[in-house]
Amino acid sequence: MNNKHQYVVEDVPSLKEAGERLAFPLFLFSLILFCFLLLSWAFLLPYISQVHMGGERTGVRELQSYHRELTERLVHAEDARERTVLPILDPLYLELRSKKLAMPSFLRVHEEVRRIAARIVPDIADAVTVERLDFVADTGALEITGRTGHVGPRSMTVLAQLTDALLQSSFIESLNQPAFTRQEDASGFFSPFLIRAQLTIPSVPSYE
Amino acid sequence: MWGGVGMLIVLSVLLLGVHILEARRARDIGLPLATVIPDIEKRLNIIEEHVELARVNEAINRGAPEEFVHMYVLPRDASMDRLVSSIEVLRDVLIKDGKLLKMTSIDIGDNIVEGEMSRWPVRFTVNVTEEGLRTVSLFLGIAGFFTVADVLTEQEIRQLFLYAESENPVGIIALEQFLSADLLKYTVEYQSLMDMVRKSFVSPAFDRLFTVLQEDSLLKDVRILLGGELGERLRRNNLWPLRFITVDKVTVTDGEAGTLEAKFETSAYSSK
Repeated sequence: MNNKHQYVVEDVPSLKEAGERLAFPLFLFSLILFCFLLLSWAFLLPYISQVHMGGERTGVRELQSYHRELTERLVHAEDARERTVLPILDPLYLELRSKKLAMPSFLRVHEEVRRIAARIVPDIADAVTVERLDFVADTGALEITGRTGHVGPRSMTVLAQLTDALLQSSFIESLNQPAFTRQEDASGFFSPFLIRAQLTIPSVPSYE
Repeated sequence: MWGGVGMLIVLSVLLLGVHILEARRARDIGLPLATVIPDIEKRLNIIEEHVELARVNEAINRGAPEEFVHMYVLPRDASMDRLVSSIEVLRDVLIKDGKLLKMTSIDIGDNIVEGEMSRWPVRFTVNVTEEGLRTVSLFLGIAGFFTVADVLTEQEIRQLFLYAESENPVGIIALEQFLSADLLKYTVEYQSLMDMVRKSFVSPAFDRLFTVLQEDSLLKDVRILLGGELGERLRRNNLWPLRFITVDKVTVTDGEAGTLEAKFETSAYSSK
């Protein structure tokens, strides 16, 4: 008896043959996958991508356009309410009212300058003397004339502290540094000054 | 065949991408919008209700403030008698209180036409105490403002409305009555006007806002200025509301004995 195994050598398919055999199942698979995805895109996706709002399902695009429309209506309604509630709607009056509210207030400027001048050297009442204040509302220009003194040889330092404090205040936008000089009279050292400043213009929205 | 397979795979991948994008849109845009929209709808309904209520109220009450503006605040004629009389009343009250020592004549320049309005330069100089300067400045600062709403900024009015929306939409009527109150009436009937609004809005948050508004806005200055004899004399002499005035230029110099000399250059307005 011949125990020797006999191997039948079959032909190994070439790549081309394998490709030909696989082509149809792969085509079928990709066709079915595509059809499913297409059906899902056409029928399922619009349904599952909807969100619940007020007991109803709505698409994201409808929701976006509805949100835009609502926001516009809200802005108009707010404008309408403000106009309706304002008792006086005369356009000329509203224009002047806005202009007046947008002007810097002389009283506030005057009080702030006096307050700042008084707190530079709190122990010496006349360390900073404001002799003259020129206020122009339209341009927001302010000129402060005065002198610092009664502080020994520190009058120029006190003047520098004054300009720093004015610059830090909310009502002054900018200022030109004054000339720093020290003079002497019977009362001791003093520094006269002229500070030119630009006031902050308050921002008041218009109802026009 | 392979070409067809490749094309179908590419199309499938594209469709899969579309699915992912749609799911993301629903999660990132749709869901947040769905939570925000009901609030906007509610707010819109309240504001539209406010507008309706305000229109009904306007039909009943509107007219008087506009007429006052046309007659007294921005009159069509060039007469200056009310303007001069009101400054005279201010002078008398300040002299009586010891806050004004001297006042020059009131110089009125030629009118300047600017579009739909005319402007008259008005100049005068006063010798005053610090308190007197404050009173004159406040007087000129509110000259021409007629109602509570006129002296409040848009932000201040909006804040009041926001509280009205969230707390009591119907309270808009009380709020509107408060905003349209004449400033002189506001100073005289301050407490009853405050009570009227507070009855409609009872939350501590609104009460805080309302109190701060009375103290931090121009309303406080109005109460200080018109709450005393000046307001009473303006009312008695039929000089309220005041002519619209803007302060153009002020020069303050130190005067004698701690007083101040203030030169005011102002403009009084008229409609054409």
